[in-house]
Amino acid sequence: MFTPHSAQRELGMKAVTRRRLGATAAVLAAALTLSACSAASPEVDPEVDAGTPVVGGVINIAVSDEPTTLDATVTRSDITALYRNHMTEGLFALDAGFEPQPMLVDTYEINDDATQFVFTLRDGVTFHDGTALDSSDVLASLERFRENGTVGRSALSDVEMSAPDAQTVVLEFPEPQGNLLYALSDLQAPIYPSESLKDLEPGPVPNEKVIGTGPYKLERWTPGVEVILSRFDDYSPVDTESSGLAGEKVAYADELRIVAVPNVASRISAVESGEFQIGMQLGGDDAQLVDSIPNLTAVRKRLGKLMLIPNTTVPPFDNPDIRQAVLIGLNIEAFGQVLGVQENWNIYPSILPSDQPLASDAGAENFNRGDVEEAKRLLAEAGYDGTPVTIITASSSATLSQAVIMQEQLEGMGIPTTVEPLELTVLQARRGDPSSGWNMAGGQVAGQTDILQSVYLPCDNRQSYICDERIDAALTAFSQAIGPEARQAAYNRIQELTYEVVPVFLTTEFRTLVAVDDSLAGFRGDVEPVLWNSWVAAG
Amino acid sequence: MGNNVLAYTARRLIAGIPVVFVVVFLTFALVYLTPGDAATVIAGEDATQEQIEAVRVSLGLDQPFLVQFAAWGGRLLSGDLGHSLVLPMSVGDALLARAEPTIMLALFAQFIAILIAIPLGVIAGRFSGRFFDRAVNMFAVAGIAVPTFVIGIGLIMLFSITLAIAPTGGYATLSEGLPATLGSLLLPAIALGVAQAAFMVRITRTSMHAVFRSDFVRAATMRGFSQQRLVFRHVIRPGLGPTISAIGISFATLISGSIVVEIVFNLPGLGRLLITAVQNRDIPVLQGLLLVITLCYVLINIITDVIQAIVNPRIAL
Repeated sequence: MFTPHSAQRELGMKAVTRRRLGATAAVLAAALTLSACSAASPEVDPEVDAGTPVVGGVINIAVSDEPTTLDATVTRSDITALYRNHMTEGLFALDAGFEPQPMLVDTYEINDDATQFVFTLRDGVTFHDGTALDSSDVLASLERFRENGTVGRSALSDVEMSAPDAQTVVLEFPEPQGNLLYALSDLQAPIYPSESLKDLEPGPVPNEKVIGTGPYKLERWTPGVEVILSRFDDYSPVDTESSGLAGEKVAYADELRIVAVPNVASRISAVESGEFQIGMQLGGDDAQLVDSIPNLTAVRKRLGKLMLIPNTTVPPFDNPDIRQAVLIGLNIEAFGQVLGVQENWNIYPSILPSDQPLASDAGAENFNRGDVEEAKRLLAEAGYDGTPVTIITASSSATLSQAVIMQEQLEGMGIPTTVEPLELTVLQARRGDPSSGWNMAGGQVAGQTDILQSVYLPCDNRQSYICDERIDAALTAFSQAIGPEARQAAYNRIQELTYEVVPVFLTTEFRTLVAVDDSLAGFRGDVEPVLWNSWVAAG
Repeated sequence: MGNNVLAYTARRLIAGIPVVFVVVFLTFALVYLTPGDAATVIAGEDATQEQIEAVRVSLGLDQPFLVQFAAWGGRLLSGDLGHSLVLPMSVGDALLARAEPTIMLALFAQFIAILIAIPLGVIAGRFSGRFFDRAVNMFAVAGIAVPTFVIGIGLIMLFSITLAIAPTGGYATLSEGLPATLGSLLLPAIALGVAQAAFMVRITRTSMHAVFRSDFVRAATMRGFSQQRLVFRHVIRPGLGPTISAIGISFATLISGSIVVEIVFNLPGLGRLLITAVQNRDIPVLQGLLLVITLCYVLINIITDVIQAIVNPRIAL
């Protein structure tokens, strides 16, 4: 079948200009129509009827907040992630099955024992500032990934990196690495130009230096008003079918206009009125509201996890037997019911959300046991002396609701408990100081794809402050496990230890929610909500 | 009179300096004492303690309290408000960019409030005790009791969604033309204006009621003055005193307190900048904002007093 990109390569063309977009659009439409006709086709979502892509126009996106930074290496915030996904790319990217696919890498070789990875970069990829991607950019960016963020620190801790030539990067490890490609797909591993990463002040990369290879580039940011991303005309897509964050990305819209509409009701109204094509950072009961509005579709592809993280440095939760006792007494159904309609939440014991291939119930015999009598007995046996517990949490309704239910259940076990809802900055500051008078902190993680992203597990973490060398060994073993069976076994081991050591009380899974107006076509949102391959439908 | 006004204004401005200083000092102290600082926000939630400390040092946030305050004060005296710790702009630019929506909204809302409150207050004061007066009182209580964001969202639902004749939010700058700006501010101005009118109408009504019952008005009525001549030439000027004070307070509140409306209607004003600066512990922006807001209060107070003196010759400056 005729594929426009291979033809472009033969003719030496790499720029995807408007005329090419038209041809690509026609082919894409044909391909989508054909695949829609085929029997079992998991790639096309029948709810999102494709139609003929329209090139041009502006996609207006309503989000909850302005970004504090465009640099994803220092934050996993979903606001920053939106910019990260459209403006930058990593060496690999996750497809709709959460498997890593080459993005800036063309070909790669892994030696037999998976201790050496040789990546050959794709030719002709340019950054938004016109410079060509080469191995020095990759080395600098991976170094930054290693210094910041839990996944990078863990995945690249023992690496030796080198660049034999401008198109080749070699990573060598003392031990086998089975998780490396997943780690290199991480949100916090974008590839920046090496110039951007020189002589940096501590903290995030300044916004004007956040330069990527992605299909959209930063046009302008008017703080408090809007951020405009415009199509990068010299973007060179990979030559594979689009899936999740991987594969071909076509920037149909000329511009993405991203506006912060902090109030949830106003945000939904703004999409309902047609001023915006898509609204993000919605959740919970908003789903039913969005469903009831005729021109809106509620897209609920991903799952997030709510949890309460104990402070394991101070009594009573410095005692693992007390943590285990509380675990046994928890009735998780109650945590779910407070979130509203059953469709919006789910109960599953895995650390990774249940939409992840590795999610399992290994080691979770004590999850959702709700055996309060046994809990009380174990608390007495463990020597619990009536020390009161303080739970700190953000004021957002989901995490606050979990904290309130936890308070109720702890009180039922004879543990006096207070809940302190805090402003986010104060929460972060107090959680960062384990002696500031808190015993549990509410938390939530949306869209987790890798167990290494669980901040509360490794030693030296500043959430649970646990340091159990068995957990660290299990995390390392997971990084080294090769192949689906070994990875599953390694993941299960981490989870078994987690349920033994209890550095976290997992509560409910919740569905993330995005509201899409009928005027936006082609939106999928499988791994993260992205707007390439989407367009504003005519009329 | 002109010289008097100038001298009076100068005296009041000088008297206002300690007020500004105290407010700014207290704000600085409060932010300093609150847990969390801009370094926590900027370094990101994944940062190690060392990385946060490094950011803290690079921003000068590890310095003692008085050293930081003195440094800020020193820069201020040379006309430099500093640079935002989080936003990609100087404090001066941030304030200028956000001032226009807030000032335009405050003026428009105040105009609507005056348009509603003064006629209603005068008539209620004239017919006090009767049905109209009672109805105005109910309006006043409702307007004060119903939260502004409820009024705001109600207006959005009716006019933006059901009738689709107004935008759900956003601000059209003056560069796009005054009609566009006023159009984008109509719903938020009504939401704020109604709330302010509710506050002002009771003051107006009480004051007008007292004037209507005063001896000179009764004498004028007995001498056969028409209602119109009575009201416009003899009642409004003496009765307006408390209302002018109320307008002054109301306007100052609008400048600093339109946060909720700015959030509901998504207006990029000073209110939202204030909230964001507090959340980010963006001290330079906060200090700059508080400085400007306090100066506004001082100035508006001065203007209100001068207008009072012009309107009511019994007052000497």
